[in-house]
Amino acid sequence: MDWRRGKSILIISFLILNILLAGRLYFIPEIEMYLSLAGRPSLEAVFYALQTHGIATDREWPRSATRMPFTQVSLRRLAAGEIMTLRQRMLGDQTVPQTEQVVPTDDKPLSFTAGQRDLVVTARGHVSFHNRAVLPSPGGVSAEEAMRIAGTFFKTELGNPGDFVFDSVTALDNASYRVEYVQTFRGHRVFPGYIIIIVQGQEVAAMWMSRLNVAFEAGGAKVVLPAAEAVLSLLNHRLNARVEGQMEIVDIEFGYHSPIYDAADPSWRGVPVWRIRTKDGVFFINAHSGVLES
Amino acid sequence: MWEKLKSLTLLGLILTSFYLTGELWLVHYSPPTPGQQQGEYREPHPLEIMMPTAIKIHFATESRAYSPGETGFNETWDFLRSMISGGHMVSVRSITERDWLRAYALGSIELKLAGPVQMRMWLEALSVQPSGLSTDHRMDRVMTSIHSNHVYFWDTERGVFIAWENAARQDQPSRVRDLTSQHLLAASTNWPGQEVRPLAPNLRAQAAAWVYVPADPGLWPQLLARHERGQNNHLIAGFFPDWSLVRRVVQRDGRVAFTDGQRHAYLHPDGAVRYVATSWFHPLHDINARASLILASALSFVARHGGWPAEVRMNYMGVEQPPGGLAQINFSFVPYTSFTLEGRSQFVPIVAREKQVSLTANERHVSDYERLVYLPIDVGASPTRIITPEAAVRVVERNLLPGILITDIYIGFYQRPIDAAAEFLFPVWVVKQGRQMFLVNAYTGEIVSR
Repeated sequence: MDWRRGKSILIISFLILNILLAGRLYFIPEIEMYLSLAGRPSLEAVFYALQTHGIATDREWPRSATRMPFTQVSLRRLAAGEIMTLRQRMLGDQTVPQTEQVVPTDDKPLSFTAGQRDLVVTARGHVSFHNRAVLPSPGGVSAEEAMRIAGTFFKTELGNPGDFVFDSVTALDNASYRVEYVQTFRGHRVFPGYIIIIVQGQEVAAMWMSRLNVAFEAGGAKVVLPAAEAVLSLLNHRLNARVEGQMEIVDIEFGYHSPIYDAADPSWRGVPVWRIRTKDGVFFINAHSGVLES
Repeated sequence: MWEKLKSLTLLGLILTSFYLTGELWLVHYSPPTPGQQQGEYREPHPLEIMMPTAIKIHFATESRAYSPGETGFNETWDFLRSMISGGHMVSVRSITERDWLRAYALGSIELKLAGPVQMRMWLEALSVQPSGLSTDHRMDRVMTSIHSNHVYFWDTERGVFIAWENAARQDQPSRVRDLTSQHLLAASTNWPGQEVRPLAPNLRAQAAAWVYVPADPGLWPQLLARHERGQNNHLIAGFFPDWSLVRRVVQRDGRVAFTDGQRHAYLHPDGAVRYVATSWFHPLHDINARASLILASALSFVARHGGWPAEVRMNYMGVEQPPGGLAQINFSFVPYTSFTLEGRSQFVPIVAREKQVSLTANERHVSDYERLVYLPIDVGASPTRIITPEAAVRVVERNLLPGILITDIYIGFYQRPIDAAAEFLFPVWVVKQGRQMFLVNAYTGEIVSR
């Protein structure tokens, strides 16, 4: 056989081989899912089960990719320059540093004071701000007003971080509001990353921020449950525990979840979850396995 | 030109094929989990872990102790089992210590368990129908006497005494007393055992009446024991049905945490393993009524996750019923080692301040499991004389809780922290006041501090 003919045969062989490999890697899992070869119940059955227990199914169900990988999550230590910028924005030029070091250490956070305002930065990347001059005002503000005030603080004092999005506003007991932002990564929420702003009267009384480093794990993407199945899983947990009352869903969001560890490892795994907010609390359902994350 | 293009295409396809194969095998292929070793695993019968750790026979002028493996132990254990097995408990009442002492002294057979167990569960394991017996009754000693037909139980930690009245069959009303007398006669003639005695007169008032110590402690070796650290990876993997869902992180305190969201396992720097499982369910049954079933499931769980030491006894059982929470039963076990010393069998606990094998189980599953086990290998070659039990009591005297009697004194091997895979453990005198435990190095007389 001459080499030219041999090359042609090899090209065709490798082409077929690569088609098979690519199909196995990228297409067959989706085909399996859509043809229910993985054995999961169809959404019609899921909806029926939810409706039987009084859960409305005519809402807009959020969607996610059919397969999602784990993430690797790590603490994000703030550099000296970032700390200086935060200090400048939040406390201004009259700041008095309370500690001598330039960056926080594990046993000694960095703290600054300007009048009644304090800023503390820890080595684990947690930032907290307090304005002790802010007092509750009798009339209070509305939720929309609180969001506007928090939004202004978010833009001016925090520099409008592009990787955080508005998440929720909650009324607190003393005529104040907690406005929460959650970190995002490639369009997905990363729930352990947060900015929480307490609005009291017309001002920001306190702020806490935790921003994480996030990266997708290479490979290992697994099939993700649809949102309706996650809700069904939560419902099953409630029925098992005989929790009384109907489950009322406030919202459902897809994202990544992980505890914050005091880790020696440089990073650890975050899992894809469906965060389900109900009137009884917030629950995270593992989007790969359907278990309630505890 | 065309041939060059074909060559480049072929090269590209080969490289693509390598890449896709690499993705498939190195990234997406999950090697098998380091799971449990397949095959047989030993699961002890509930009665095995509630067997006595020692039997004492109190004669008119002396008392003797028999260890498992020693002549006289099996004979006495079988005798007692045959006497009460298959019985129906129709009448049980609390008695005073004085009533108990009257039966105890000068003619009785006493079984000593490793720790207080639910009396009902112990009797069920002996095929006794414990009707009329509350689930609250616990005991760690059992006795028959030549002075009565009752079977006596008492809880040394709480100082509670109970008599099972009319334990004899109705057609043989004096059966218990008669058979006990016969057995005492056989024991005095055939089975020498080890002589035991109360504490010396100047310390006797500090100890309960049932506290007996070896007449001559003699020479004791060290115990060569090994750690389980090498098996811990297999143990951890066995907790999770799908290893690909497990997250692992090394924490700064040295613990390695594993979780799949529902189950959590921790590997401590000292080699201890802890497993916690959460679930939501509403309990359907009275947990006390299911204690035997729950114990069986706990025994099976340990068999599948780490396995049982060759000799082990249950030394604690307690029901936890937190308000608004799930009722659970906590079991604790201690490993023992048996060897021959100066021609006599010894059955000795490996004593630790930490939990060695401990589980908490509800009606559905094991929710908490802790394990830090040393496995005995052999005894050392040079036995050394140990201090007397009185010397040990004098060492801890100032630490003893005022107003509370010493409830037990015995020898164990101390499970000290070890770095190497196998090291020698020294013997200790264990002085107990209820649940409080004091350890004294039996060679040097030093208190083993926490």
